[in-house]
Amino acid sequence: MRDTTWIGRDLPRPDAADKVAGRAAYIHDLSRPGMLWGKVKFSEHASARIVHIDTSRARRLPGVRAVITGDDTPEIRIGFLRDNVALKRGRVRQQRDEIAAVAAIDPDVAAEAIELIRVEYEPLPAVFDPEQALHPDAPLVHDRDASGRPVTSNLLPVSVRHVSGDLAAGERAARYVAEGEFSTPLIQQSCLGTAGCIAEFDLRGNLTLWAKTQIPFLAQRDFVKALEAMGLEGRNARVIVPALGGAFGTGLDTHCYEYIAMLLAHRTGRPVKMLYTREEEFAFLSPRQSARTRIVQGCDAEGRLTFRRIDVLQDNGAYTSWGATYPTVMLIPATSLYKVANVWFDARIVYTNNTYAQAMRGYGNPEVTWPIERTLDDLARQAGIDPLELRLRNVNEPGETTPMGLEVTTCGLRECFDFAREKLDWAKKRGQQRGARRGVGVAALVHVGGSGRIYRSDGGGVILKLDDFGNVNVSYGGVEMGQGLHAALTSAVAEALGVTPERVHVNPTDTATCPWDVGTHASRGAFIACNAAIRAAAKARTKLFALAAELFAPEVARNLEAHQRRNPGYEPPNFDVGAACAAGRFQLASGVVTLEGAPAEPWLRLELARLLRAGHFRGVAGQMIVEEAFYEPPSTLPDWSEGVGNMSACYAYGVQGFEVEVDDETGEVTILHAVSAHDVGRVLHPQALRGQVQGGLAQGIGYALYEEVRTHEGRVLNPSFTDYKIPTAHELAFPVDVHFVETDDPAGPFGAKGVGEPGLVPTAPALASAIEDAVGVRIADLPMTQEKIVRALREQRAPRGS
Amino acid sequence: MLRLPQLQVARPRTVEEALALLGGEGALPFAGGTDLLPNLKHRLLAPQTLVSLAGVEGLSGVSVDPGGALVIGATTRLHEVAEHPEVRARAPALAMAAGLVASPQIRRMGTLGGNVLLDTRCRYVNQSAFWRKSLGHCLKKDGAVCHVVPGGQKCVAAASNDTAPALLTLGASLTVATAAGTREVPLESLWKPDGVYNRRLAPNELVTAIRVPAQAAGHRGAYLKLRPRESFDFPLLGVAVRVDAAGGVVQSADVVVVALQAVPRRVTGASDELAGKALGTQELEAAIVAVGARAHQQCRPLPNVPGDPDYRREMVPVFVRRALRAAAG
Repeated sequence: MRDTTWIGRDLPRPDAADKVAGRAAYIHDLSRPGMLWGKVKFSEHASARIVHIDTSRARRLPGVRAVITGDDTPEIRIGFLRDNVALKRGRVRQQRDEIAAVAAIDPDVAAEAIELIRVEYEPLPAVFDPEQALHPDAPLVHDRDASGRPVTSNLLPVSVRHVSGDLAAGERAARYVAEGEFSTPLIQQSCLGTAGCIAEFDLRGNLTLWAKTQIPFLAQRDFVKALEAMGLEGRNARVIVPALGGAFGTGLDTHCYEYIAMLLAHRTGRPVKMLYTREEEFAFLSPRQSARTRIVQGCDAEGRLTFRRIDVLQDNGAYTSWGATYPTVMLIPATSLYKVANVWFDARIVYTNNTYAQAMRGYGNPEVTWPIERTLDDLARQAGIDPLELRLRNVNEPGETTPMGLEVTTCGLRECFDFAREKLDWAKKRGQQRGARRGVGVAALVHVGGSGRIYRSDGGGVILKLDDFGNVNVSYGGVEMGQGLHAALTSAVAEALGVTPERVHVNPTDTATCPWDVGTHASRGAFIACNAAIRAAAKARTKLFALAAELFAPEVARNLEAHQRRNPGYEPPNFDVGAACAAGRFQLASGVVTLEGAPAEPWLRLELARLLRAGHFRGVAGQMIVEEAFYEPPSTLPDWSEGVGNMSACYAYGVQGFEVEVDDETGEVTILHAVSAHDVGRVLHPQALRGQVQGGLAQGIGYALYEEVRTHEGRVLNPSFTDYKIPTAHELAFPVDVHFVETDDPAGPFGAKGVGEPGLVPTAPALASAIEDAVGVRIADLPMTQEKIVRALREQRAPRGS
Repeated sequence: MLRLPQLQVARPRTVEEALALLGGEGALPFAGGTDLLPNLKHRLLAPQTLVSLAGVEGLSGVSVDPGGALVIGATTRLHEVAEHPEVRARAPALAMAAGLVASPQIRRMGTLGGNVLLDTRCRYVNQSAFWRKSLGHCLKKDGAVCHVVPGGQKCVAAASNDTAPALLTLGASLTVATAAGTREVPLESLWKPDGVYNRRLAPNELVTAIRVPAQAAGHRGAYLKLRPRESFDFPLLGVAVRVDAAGGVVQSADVVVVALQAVPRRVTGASDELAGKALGTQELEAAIVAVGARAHQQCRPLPNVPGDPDYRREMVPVFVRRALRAAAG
């Protein structure tokens, strides 16, 4: 690995102080002159015909500036399959459907006006279970697709399959077979900053939207289409992203409330702000997809995997988000977590009248890693092989091409297992502490580490704009949402350009000023941004050194004069500055230009700021240094009907492990110790990286033990943090051994891989394995609540039928 | 966040002023506000005036009267109750219960009086106005049906106050100021089995203090709480116990359970099982198990608060045994 000055150094995060002091401006803090407040009237039924909407009383309420419905606004189609409309006409398909909206002078008037809107419904049949939704007699959630063609089934026309090798031969080769049905719940992304936006039109009909988004440029594209639907062809939609209080996938789609804010702003001619309350966020924003998985996998007598078959059923809810492409990422663990030759994968996604779901951290990966890792423990038990040893016998290695066609450039999975084994004291503890109701468990993950191509461009650009004072202003179209992107980008720019990090300033994300980027997802932010920054910095250095070739010698000559004035009798060493400049032997480090091989004389160096000013103020030849580079990773868009393609430039691996103690009377799980080892390629910014890994671990603990959006007939039963449990600091007060394996990937910026999502992915199966080791119970359906553990313990003591 | 309704806040300086204000229409007392404000945002209550007790003299603080009774001002913060050496020494179950309410932040705002008078809770009522309306409302607020007990005519929203069972085991009473003077209300007679409003207090009465009488020699007590996490949660089940064991032998005992129904429930027969048993003996342990069995027999949680009621019932004997062991140990 190359020597670095700033990369890997524990620098403070540039956004930390403002956020800690409450000065960062989130959408909640923003206001525009003349701004109105928008609010949505949501459906009270999961499936019904809208017979009549009476908005007359709301319109008469003083302070109300507009009341709109689907009947008096243009139809704006949205969503991955364009099966959703911003304001519904005639029919609702889920509890949270948007029926009407108001704009008013303050939030209280808006809320009161919403209450005055009367809606008459005629309830229609509904279906809430994805298996029942596949029944031929099930009511159709949509009877036509987006282009008006009749449909006959609730099955989504989104198919992801994979068949590789010879499944039957793999089954024959298996000495041991493990199978089961597993499920993962609907969960809330639980962003501390709730959803919201401000929409504002200028008098030429151009839109500016301050949006809580992870995809500013795909959002721009969606919004421009909406402007066309509103009769505003040729107008621009500018997207500005304020500070975000977490996104975790909620920002991968554009949302009805954003289009409703646009419609209200257009109707009133005033900026309109929409802000979800926490209760609205829980009930009316899309949670993570739930999944039911059926798995069979087998191994030979030595524990080597011979086949794996996975069938997934996903509840889409009533409309389709990008989350419907979960199976594209499910394929990664299905085909490539451990070496397995013969793989079958099939995913079906089904419309129901439940709340429609969207993406979240891990994007399908944890849903499939859960059954894979749980059944590996089963195979290990059957084969009489230690479960960690069984995993090592199948461990992924560099140079491998997996059944999906993933090209494994670098892989530190074995080192991650070694670390977990040592830190958990595995040999002494696994299977040895049943009497104390204590156990240890591990699980691994593979994920995209070099972005994940699910769109024709998977790139992103960076602009570096240097100013007269030596500041480097960085524009990147991805989104800082709390993960530490700007910290990594600052270190990378400082390193690649040769300035100090204090001189690097990352601009707010704005489609008007930043180059295109596909979005901050797939753990790609730092990987893409830093790769683009390295390329932009190289261009800037070339230009700076060209300037220096002309200006360095005269500038240091002035330095020398001043030096000699202060030090009469000073004799400069014998060094030919002109010749060195002509040879272009420049160096730029920590904001200072020097010549290679030059003596360390105080006058024989040039501050970057002076070089920039010299370049600026040179009359007609004056010049600015503004450089752009666009980085497109070397990956391919997979063929989804075959489920094959090298979708990422490199792959991240990791292992997490736990030691737990289980209260066998109450089912309470106490985590005593956690281990988190990740192949990160290279550590860019230690603090941000630790934050990502530990944050993912914490979120994974919520997924494993507590979290579930409970619904009844499409209604969310626990729409608040009072009833929806996420782990608090109290539950996370255990030691975590974090370890980073640096494999220096050739595609990575300075060797780094993306690591935004991995912390969450193997947490639940590792905890489940530890719980099973402690008290012998196996739970297939997340979350592993106290109730479920007690029930399983009871069944263990008195098996059914006895 | 959810918006508060429009209302006025009055700031009396004395109990008399507060009582006069509480006599007005649509007035509610306002102390820590940790439960009141969410309920207002959910539109469960619609007061015109909140009567702030923050500036009223003499409502806060812990003292011990000459007879050895603890007198705790109604607006004493839960944190102070939990940490106070006299409370910990004289009423350990109360200190434990106060220390297990919600989270550290809430215990520094919430008051003991507020917790004693906490409104009942139910998964179908502690929701936003929109949510309740879309479900068709319920007995506790604006409706005529019960979603917990189909066909039920009586609201079964659950008493969810951690300190209530502890105070019941301690024989506590409330000092209540009224326009006619001050009266003492034993906690035994405070609650009534009606989830809509489970307290026998008039709107123009103000609890000024909680009085915990001097306990018997050898007093021990404990409070334990079932919750999904170790912090922040209302009880899915709360168990308070009193074990008086002068000379190392149990003389008398009491077990009270909360978060089952609209009122805290006393488990009968605890003294019968435990009295006469010496601490640290197998005999006592057997009696503790027997009390747990009685509790299991007597307590039937409803699906009124989150958590599987079968699981909550199964936890009743577990928590009764653990609380008794904690007190007797």
